[in-house]
Amino acid sequence: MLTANRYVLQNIRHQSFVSLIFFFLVFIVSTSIFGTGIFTENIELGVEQSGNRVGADIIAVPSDYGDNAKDVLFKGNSCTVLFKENITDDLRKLNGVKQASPQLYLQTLALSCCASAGMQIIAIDPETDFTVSEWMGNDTVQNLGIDDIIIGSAGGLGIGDKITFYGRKLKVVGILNETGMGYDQSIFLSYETADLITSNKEYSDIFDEKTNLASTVLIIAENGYDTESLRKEISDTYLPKGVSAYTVGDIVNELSKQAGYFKTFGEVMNVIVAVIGAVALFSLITITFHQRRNRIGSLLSVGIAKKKIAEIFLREYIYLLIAGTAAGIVLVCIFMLPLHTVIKQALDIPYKFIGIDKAILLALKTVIVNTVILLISISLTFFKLIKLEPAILAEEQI
Amino acid sequence: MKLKVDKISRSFGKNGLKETSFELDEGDFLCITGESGCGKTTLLNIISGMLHPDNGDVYIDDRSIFNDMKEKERTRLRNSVLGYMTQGNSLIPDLTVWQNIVCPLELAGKKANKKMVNELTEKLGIDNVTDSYPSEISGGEYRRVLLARILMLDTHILMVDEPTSNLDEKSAVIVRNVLNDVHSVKGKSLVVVTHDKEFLAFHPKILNLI
Repeated sequence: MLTANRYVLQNIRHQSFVSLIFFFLVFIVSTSIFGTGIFTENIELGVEQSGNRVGADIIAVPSDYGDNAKDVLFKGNSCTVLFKENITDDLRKLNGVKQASPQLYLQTLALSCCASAGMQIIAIDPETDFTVSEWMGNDTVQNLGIDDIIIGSAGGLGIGDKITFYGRKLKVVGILNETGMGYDQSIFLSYETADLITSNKEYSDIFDEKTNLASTVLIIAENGYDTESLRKEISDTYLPKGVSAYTVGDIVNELSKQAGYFKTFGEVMNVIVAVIGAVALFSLITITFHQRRNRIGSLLSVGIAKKKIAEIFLREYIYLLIAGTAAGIVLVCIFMLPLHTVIKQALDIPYKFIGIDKAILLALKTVIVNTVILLISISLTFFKLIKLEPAILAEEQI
Repeated sequence: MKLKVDKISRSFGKNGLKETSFELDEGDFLCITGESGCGKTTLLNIISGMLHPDNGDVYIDDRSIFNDMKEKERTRLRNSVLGYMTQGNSLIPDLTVWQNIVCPLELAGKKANKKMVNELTEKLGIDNVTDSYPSEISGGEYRRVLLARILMLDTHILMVDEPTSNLDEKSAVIVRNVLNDVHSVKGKSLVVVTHDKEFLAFHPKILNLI
């Protein structure tokens, strides 16, 4: 039995070149809309959450290292930065400081024999930490023992795994949820373990066998205290000791600005591709319909209803639209999900996966955009054509 | 079923169909002839409801196809009452010959009788090309497939535009015999646009358009 479905599938097979071009155009539009959508929203979420969940109002960093310390925290750049002296206790005494917690950043690349490239070791003080604990959401940080580590979500290790850094065999006791920040590529250990490393003679050229070193101090201001005044006070007071202070709000604003550039670029690209795709699809559909107008006339001449003919043509384009959209979405998933960590590391700003539910919404948006393009193209060609008298469509002579 | 064509005309620039009227009773065989551009095909297009006349009307059993029927009903008419074999290359290129023959029935939701298709293709000498695509068959075979497609509809009235033009004598004989059988054996009414002298000699009811 020659059903409309069989007719359509046979038509797609027989007109394989035209079908392939149509499929490819839909595929390109889908990949662009879905891909850039996921990309820009991941950046947006990364920036938004990193600001919200650092938990600190101000960070104090060694001024000699410029932006390096900030970049470790927010961007995942790997480095070793040190204050000339740990000023955490001094900062706690300042008016307006509610909480202060030091962190020590140690680069793994130079000295470790078995470290993953790009991993950053961060020593935290389990007693005063309020950032990593917030991301962990349990008491793992408070219970960190000697040689215990918590690993970032992109660390590629499981609980119980062991890894050697600075000659110490460290055991994974917790995995941090994805933060979208530099924390995802980091390893967290207690100051107790860090002191054993920094005081080791073997690394005296870097740490001078010192303990209680710090790379940054995260500060929470008292409620109602003006963070900008506090930042200024810290900077002014401790600049001679090589300390610079930044408000997290300013850093996040700076990151948001960078994310905004990415987003604008992504959206402009999206619109360009969608418009080019829409014009190409419209042209293809128009040309195809005009080539097939005598086919429409022929079907009308043997009494096939216009509704049935419209169904046949619509089905053909809908099948190709579904295939092209699905292929585009699947391709983006195949590339962007497994390569999420690689993309995150390559970017210079926070990047966090938006989650399956939002990805599904974006996929739906892609389907809707493609469907609208198709419906507009069809309305402007097919429904205009089908208004012609059947004999004119069939190109019958007089 | 009675067909009445009442003072219809349609112009296309200088050419076109001048005012024409005739009546076709059940079982009649009408040959329409005339010079190029006199509107023979236009007449069939109008009778089949595929083209609106500038003036006049067409009646089937006293019902006007342009005033009493909507376009949907006129389309249905061509599938069940008034079969029309056009002159142009109107086979669907993506379907095989077999599928082209059954498509008017099956796309309309009716099941084609396989035995009837076999008999018809055999009678028309196209049984060896049923799996071929229209681009793979000769011009003569193409015309016979068009005819088979319309005959499958088994309509009361059959309108055929130049069924034997450009056919070799052997193919023309086959087509003439099949159409004559449809008329004499099955008792169908036929309107045939033709310049074929064999047709014109055999059927006395002739409308000469000018």
